[in-house]
Amino acid sequence: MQMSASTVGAPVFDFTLVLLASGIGPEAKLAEEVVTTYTQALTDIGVTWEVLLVDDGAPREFFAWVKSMSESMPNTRGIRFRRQFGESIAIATAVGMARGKNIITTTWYQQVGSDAVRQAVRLLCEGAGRGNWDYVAVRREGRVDSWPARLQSWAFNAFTRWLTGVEIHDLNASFRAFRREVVAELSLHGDLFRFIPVFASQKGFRVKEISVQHHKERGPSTILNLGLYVRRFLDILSLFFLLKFTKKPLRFFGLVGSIFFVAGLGISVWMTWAKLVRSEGLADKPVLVLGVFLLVLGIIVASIGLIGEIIIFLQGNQLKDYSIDTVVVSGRTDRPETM
Amino acid sequence: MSVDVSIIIPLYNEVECAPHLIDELRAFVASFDRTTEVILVDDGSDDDTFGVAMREITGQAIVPDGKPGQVKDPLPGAKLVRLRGNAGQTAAMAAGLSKATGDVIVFMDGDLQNDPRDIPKLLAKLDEGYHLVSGWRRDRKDRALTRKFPSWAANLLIGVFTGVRVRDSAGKPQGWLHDFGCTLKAYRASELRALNLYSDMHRFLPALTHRAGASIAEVVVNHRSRAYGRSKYGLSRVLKVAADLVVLKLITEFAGRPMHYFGPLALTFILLSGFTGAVWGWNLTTDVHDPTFIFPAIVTLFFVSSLYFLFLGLLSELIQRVGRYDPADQARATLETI
Repeated sequence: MQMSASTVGAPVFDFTLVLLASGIGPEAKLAEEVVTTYTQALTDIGVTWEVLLVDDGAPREFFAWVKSMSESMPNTRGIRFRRQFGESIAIATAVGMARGKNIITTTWYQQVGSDAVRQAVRLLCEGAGRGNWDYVAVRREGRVDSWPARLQSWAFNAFTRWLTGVEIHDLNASFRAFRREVVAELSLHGDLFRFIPVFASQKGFRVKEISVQHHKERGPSTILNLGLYVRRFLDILSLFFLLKFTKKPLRFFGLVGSIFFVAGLGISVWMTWAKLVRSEGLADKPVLVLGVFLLVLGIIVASIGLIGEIIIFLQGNQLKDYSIDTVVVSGRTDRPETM
Repeated sequence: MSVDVSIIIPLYNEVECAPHLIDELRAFVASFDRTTEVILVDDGSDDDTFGVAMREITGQAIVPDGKPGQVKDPLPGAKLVRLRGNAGQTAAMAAGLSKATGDVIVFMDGDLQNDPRDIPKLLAKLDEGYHLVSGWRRDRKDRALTRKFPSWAANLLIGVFTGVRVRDSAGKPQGWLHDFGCTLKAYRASELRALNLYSDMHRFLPALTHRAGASIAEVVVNHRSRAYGRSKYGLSRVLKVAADLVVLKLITEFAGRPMHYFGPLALTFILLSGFTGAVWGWNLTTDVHDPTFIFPAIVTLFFVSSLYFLFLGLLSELIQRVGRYDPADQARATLETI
């Protein structure tokens, strides 16, 4: 089937393999190995595929390889960002351009072997209707990175699991396989790409975690990077807020605000009682300042919640609360994603 | 292709009720003289509500005690929408609405407590010129303490707070709307399309349409006790309703003009700051032997808060300006042209 590179329409392939390469690291040799191994696995299973090579601010030599690949390999396209825009933007752009019903993302080296591809295809495609999975996350077993890296990764995942209640153990793995609409329905920005399975699960998509052998780790070393820890913590905090309170910000701010307000009210009433009933002087009681401060803080926090509500009310038409899976019209079924 | 009436029914874990519900609807649609589409919304049920409903509407359901292989008739013009995950009643209603083509929208519960045979009554009332006709379960068949009392309290709260009145055909207010919580209500489709349904807004639909100038009528409807499954509500509802009411009030009042909320707050605090400052000054001039170090702190606090509210107000004006919401949209959507 002949299509121009920019056409986005009905999917024409079963799978789109998206290779993400960013920063100064990417090496053409390793990237070529990933593409040939994974597409070979897809061909062996008997599904149709295309390849989308994403150069997110990689060195010039790498894009030369991308060009040569798109000329020599069938169904292969490449895109280049002028600078590094980050993985969220790269994934969202790639999904927007993909012509496959399902997407597999991978980094530029074989983090996991082609066994992950085989398992993912089986889970996404096997069975009919509701039996299918929508998102396949990998959990790297027998990790080859250093123990401090594993420790911080474990802590990050455990904390996220505890806060969100979504049982995913390896959010940092760059191998992901999913139906196109899982990501098409999300708005990805910043560092939110790590949490795609969490958002997907909350939207009601069926997320499956598989264990695979960890092959290789070539990313930049990020151990004991204090700034990174702070950013991750903030990411999880905003994730928690977005998951729980996107459509009802005043419930969150109102709760926090009323706790402050009630505490402030208590102190103020106590001070008033001391002044009026026991005729004590207030001027040497700094706790009065605390009471007044808490009262004011309570109102301020609740007001921020109101601003949140106004934003949602004004802009919320695009934020649907629901996501339609299937429509049956007496006798006819529309399930666009069924393979 | 549009129809006269769309009946939207959210279903959540109603595997036992669904066949009876669809039987009733089949009988109703066959005898009803307007073109009707039934839209069932499966709100991410954990049981097989989807499968059961699908077989019922597509004519694959086996007739109980029938001849071997005998199947029920399909439900003509029915749509079954399945949501990913449990999105809640408001979202399920919004999803149904997005697939509806009717000029009139009727919402109904999926637990058999509403009776489709009440629908002609609602529509006849709507034809008298109302924009919304609400069902009123005057004789509720529910437990008094856990269902009737919270419902009564919630209705009173919403009624007093939002000022929704039922009107007679001459447009004169007749009294409070009795039953905000009754799902069985008929709307002109244009009323609903002018609104943005999210969070737990379904209970406030009458209040929101009332605010947009709709005239509302009430019709007593049949209410039957729950025969299957269990209720998905409890006593904690009243608190949630109270919190949502405050939000609703603030939003409907101030979303279009946020400075009118933050402005008075800023003014209050600048006055408080001035007042505290005056007390401080008076304290300094009189011969009171109190150390007065807390006064500057409180004056500063009030002054800073005043500025803070002023800036929050300006910020929200900015947000309002770039928002896609235009109060004129609602006016236009419900405009009557002769």
